[in-house]
Amino acid sequence: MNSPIAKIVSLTVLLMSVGSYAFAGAPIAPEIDANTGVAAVALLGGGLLVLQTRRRKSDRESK
Amino acid sequence: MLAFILALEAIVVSVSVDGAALASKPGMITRFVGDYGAWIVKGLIGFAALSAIFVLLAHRSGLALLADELASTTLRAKWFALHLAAIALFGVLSYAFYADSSGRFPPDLIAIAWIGAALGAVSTAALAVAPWHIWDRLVRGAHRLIVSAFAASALACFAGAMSWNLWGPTSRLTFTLVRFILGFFVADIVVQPSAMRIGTHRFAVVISEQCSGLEGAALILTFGLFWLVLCRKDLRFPQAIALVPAGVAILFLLNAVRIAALVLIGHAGAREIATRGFHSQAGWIAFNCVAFAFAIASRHLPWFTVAPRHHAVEFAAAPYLAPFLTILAAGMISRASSGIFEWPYGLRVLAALVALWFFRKRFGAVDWRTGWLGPATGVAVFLLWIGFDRVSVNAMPSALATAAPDLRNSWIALRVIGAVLTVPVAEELAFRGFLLRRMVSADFENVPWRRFTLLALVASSVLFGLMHGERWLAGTLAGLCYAGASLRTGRLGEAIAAHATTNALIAISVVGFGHWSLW
Repeated sequence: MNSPIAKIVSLTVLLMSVGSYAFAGAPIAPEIDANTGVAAVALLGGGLLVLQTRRRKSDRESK
Repeated sequence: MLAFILALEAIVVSVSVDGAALASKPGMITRFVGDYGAWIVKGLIGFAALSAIFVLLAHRSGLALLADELASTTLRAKWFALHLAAIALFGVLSYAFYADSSGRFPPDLIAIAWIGAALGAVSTAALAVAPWHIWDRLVRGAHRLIVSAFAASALACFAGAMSWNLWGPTSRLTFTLVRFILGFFVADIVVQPSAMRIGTHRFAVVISEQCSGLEGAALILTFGLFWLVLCRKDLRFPQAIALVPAGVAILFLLNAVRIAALVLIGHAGAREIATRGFHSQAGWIAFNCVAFAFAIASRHLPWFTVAPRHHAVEFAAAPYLAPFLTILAAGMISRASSGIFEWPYGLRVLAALVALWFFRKRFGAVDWRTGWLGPATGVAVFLLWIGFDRVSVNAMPSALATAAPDLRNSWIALRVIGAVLTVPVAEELAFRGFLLRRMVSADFENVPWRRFTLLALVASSVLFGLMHGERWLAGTLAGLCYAGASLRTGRLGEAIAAHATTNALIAISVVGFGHWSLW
């Protein structure tokens, strides 16, 4: 992983995923439910990674 | 390995130590630890994380030099042994401090020894990783950043502690907003402000403090600030700062909409959907929508960004990640619209098929072929998977067992198609096709399919494992095996075949032998 953005986004995904396990024993919070958070955080992290790979179409065609 | 051991120690300590156990114990220091210990630990973790991020962002070149120096330094065994001794002492003292109520030793004396052991464990771990002169140079070189990180984490802790005072007013504001929204849809609203109860004569909810919208607001505030810092070079300031309060306000309003929708769903007769699926998913769906909107607005609206605009753009990672992400999104929607049982599972299959079809012309670099290694790896992973699981014959979920045969068979067929076809393709594209190669190089499309680094292999497999909930360890090992099959042959098709074989065997085990806990 080269760019700091990708590093930190990935790290955030990892930490929040682990965090949701640490909170798994806590009472379920009605608004943000940690037990169902892994998929949500992965979706957000993955979506942001897709946004980070934005490029002009011509960049691919010229490769 | 050392990082893994330290992380494991931190998780064990955070799970096993509970400040509430100190409430009934005497002693000034003991009471202080009981009242403020959790905030101090949170502050220290925040301080360490912020320091690391600040130093990483601002001192990359200096950090690279230090990293080179550290690479030539081996683990310092003497300090590591002292660390293990300190952590063992900390474990014993934790038991005496939190769990032992015999009163043999004065609690304050144990508290002082416990704090000393904790400080000893942290400092010996630091010295096991790097000699004193490297830490000294790091602190001297980045002391301003470290002071800033300390101030920021202390402020965050103070704000966190103070935020408890906001629960009451914000839940009352949310109550008022829900009442206002419900007024558009229901004529006879049942309102009991003293109990914070609101709803209709058929279905009502209590808006507890955790429903106030503060959790979502804190989450989007954290995300927004991080995003502004990370993308600061492309953003137009001060305009971009406006996105933060806008995001917080929108998510706060969406929380009221969520509660009103929950009441309306329950009022319509779908009590189970309201209280189970929708209740646990809607908050995350709202957060993700606002966070994505925040990110897209900050990067694409000219008022917020200085980055040049291109009319014909594409996203290099989209073909690899979109099938997996659409499965996740469809899963959140299908769970939100389910009660105990996720009947609309087919939505996930459909979403993945649509995404794969949409990007079908951009998979030119993917070698879909497979030989014997893929299926053989799949069988090995299946054996590993059931080895980790206490597989037993479980009853079919009651909702499925009591359903009409056609409906039951259709659901099982879709579940098998998902497990054997769409999930392996989507997950292997995401984790082995994209993430593993992206961690090797930013130009992941030109990374040869056999090339990898140890960090990329392990990190992508751990993330894959985390997606499997309680089975995270088996999932991580499975990820390593699938990656091995792909890297050995240079064909993603081997990993897909391995994954599909594992899932097919699991499906046979479930449907044929009644091991329903595997699904």
